[in-house]
Amino acid sequence: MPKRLNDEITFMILPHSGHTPFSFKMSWGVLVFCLTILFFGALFVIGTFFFALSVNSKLSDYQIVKSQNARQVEEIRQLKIESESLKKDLKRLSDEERELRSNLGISEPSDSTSKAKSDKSSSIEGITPIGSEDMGNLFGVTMDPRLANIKNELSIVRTQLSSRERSFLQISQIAKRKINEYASFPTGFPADGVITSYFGYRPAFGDFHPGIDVATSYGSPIYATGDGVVVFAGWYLSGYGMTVIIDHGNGYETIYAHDSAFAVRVGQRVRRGEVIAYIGLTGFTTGPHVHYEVHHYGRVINPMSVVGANPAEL
Amino acid sequence: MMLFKVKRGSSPVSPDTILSHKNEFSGTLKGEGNVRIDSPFEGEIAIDGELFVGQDGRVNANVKAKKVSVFGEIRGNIEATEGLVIHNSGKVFGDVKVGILFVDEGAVLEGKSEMLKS
Repeated sequence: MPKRLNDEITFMILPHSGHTPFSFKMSWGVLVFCLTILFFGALFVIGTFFFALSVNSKLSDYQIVKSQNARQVEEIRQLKIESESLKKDLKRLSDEERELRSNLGISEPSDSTSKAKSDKSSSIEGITPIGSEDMGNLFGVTMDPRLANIKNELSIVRTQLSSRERSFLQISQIAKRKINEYASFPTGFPADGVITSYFGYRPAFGDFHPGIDVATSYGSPIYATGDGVVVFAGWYLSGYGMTVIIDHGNGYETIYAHDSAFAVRVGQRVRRGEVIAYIGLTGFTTGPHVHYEVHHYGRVINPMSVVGANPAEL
Repeated sequence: MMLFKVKRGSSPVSPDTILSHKNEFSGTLKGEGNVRIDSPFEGEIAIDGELFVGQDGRVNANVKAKKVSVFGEIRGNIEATEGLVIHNSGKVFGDVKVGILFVDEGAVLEGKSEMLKS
């Protein structure tokens, strides 16, 4: 390298085509300057080339992301539809449950707090989204509002679903209990016969009839009108003759009088419709019939008010 | 186009000595280096290298060289051990004694020619 950039050099161009040669001079400084310019120019060109390449790859990435995004938007839309239909299904389920409850005579869920909570979360949109947004911030991801919305809805559905599940479990337990309980209500009919005498005051006899008389042929079976335990089977009072008394629980007792024979023993569990005795003429009676009484907490009630009744309404 | 044609023979090498078109020379040219002449020249040339006569070259001398390329004009006898190439603008007036002779279209060669190898 020269000591000073001011030193000059000559360039001579000799065309091999035989044309007249020519020469020019240049100082080292200019040469260095030109070479520098050339160097950076080349650098710039190369840099631009690679930048274009990267932009191109980014563009293709962008296209991929764009198509992915479009697909995801469609998926989100489908999800939204799905979630809407889920919500609708849940609503229908809820309505049916309410109907079931009213039919079974079961009150609204005792854990009303959970129901209130789910109602609250569905009415106040702000609760769940805040959670999901927090999550998004945690991972440095901004969540698509539509997605957040769907997440919110799905979480509502989940909450409601678990609440419904609890509720149904309760209903099922109550229903099981009720079915047992209902079976024990004396809603059946004591014999396959005709009612010859109703409950209440009888002008013909001038007395108060505490039950109903169901007449049929001698020896016909007498059925238990509900599940229960035989608490008495024997000669009962003066006029009743051979009598079976069944305790049904819930304060109900039924009395079947004037029997000819027993089919059960004291302490035996009986089911509704089970034969417990046979029609007879024991006690004061004018013909073969069963005298059927229903007691509720020791008080005589009209058997016709419970025969065939819906146990839920008793 | 011409470049390709020249190349097809054999390309001239870079000159060690250049006689510029701004000067005139007369005398004897000797040595091992390759010479390019772009000027009027009068005298004698006997070199071991190549002689290149540019389009401005006006050589009036007998030439003895390994190889001679002519774009200008040579008046005199030429002895080129390897070859003589007269390009389309070249003119040679004189007898030539060459290993290989190449005369381009439009070139002028007036004189006897003799091949060294035969």
